[in-house]
Amino acid sequence: MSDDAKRRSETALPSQHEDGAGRLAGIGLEPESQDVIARKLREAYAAKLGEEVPDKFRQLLDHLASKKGG
Amino acid sequence: MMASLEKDELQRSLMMLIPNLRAFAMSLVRKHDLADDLVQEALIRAFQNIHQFAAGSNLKAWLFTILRNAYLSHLRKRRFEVGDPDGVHAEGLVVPGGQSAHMELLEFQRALDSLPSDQREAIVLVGAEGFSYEEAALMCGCAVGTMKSRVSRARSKLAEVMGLSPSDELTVA
Repeated sequence: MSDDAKRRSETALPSQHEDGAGRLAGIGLEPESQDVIARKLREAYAAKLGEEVPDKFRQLLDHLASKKGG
Repeated sequence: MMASLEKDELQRSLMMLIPNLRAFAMSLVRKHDLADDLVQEALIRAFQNIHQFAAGSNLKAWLFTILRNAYLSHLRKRRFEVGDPDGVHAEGLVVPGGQSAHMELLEFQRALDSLPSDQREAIVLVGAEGFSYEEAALMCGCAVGTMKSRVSRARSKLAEVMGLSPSDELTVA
């Protein structure tokens, strides 16, 4: 994972809605199960966040900004 | 006309959020090309409607709402199948680390993909993206209690699919 991707996953995760142990509030689930799910979710999502952004997006933003700027 | 600084800031902020938008779009459609189409559509709509964005409010939440609306429009227009029956998405995940960790992550991704779309969306927004229940509910046009319920049901189903139960002995890394 690139440094940028690491930074993203560190800053975006874990969720502010987890408790101090990093688990989502849950109903009817053991805390350990909640831990596992929260961790897996973060890992799976971090893998997506770490994917390289195709250059076409930068080009699109440049194009949109130039149109917007007149 | 948009001031130059404002335009530059917007462009920079959008660029920073593209990985999040792509990840969320992937959680919705689970196909890279479709996800990227949705992100592009969302970016275009964002620029077109930037005058509607209230300065100081949450740009990420605003963009996610636009992306979600683009997804719903796309669904209505094309009624495409959002499933991943062949595991195209799961197999295409780029996962660093060892084979075992890779397999575990694939299994979890399959479990996540098996969730009903509203539950998957809810747990991604709250559990992965860190939005509050209130923000996620606003984005999805539902009550806060409904959002909490969706997240809870998603978590329970993931636990079930992953074979986690109160009696299981778990090893947490």
